[in-house]
Amino acid sequence: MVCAFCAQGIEKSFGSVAHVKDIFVSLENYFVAIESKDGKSIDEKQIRTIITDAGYDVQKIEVVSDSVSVIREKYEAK
Amino acid sequence: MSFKGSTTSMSTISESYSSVESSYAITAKDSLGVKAYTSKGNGYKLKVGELVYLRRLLRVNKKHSQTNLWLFTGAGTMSLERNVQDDDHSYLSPTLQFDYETKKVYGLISHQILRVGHENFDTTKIEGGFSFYETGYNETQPWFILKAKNTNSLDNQNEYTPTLRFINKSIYGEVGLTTKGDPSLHLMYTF
Repeated sequence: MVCAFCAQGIEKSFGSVAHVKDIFVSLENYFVAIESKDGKSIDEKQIRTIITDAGYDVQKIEVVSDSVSVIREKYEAK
Repeated sequence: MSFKGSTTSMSTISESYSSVESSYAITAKDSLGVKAYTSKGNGYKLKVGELVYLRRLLRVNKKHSQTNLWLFTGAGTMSLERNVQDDDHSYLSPTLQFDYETKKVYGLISHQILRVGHENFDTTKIEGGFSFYETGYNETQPWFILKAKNTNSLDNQNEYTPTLRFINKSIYGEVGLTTKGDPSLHLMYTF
């Protein structure tokens, strides 16, 4: 994930998913953070499909307790 | 071409070549679009309308780089004007493009085969450049790219265009000036 023009497909693709509340793309740290709406979840298979359809490969999916806004604040402050 | 389900539109304006095109990504690897362009040089004037199919043959995603191999196939009609003669031709034209990029370095090489009637308008492009600095996802990243191009029959010699490129998410813009002093402008947007 080296170029914002290519990576914007990830943000737009997840943005059109009904259960997605927020998305954060970090080119510097090579990850995408996705937060689902309260009471909703996002299927791991769907995540892999969206990432692949955006032209990328999934290395790892990790569930964390932080919200996207907390992650965004943490990584944009660096 | 961007992500599956996206539409990418672009336009180029310069002294010798102007184009407008739009394509839709049917899959993550295939897009279909339309393109219209004019090109001139050495007494030739070309006006072209074509359908374009783009296939991403190969992509290698590494942590710090991306490598792509693309096949463009254009099928269209060309109005070819030379001196007082004006002919229309249909054609099928493949282009193979290889590109490599990191956050700081970019390179591209492509070759297009375009033959109409007895004329040969094959085009070779080589581009290379660097980013002045790395940026975050939401920031505009500036690049310097040196482009070299040669189109058979239209160009007596290679055309060199030092170019400034700016990328901000969906927007991709370039401003260049050929070594002959002709300006060029390119704008691309993904919906």
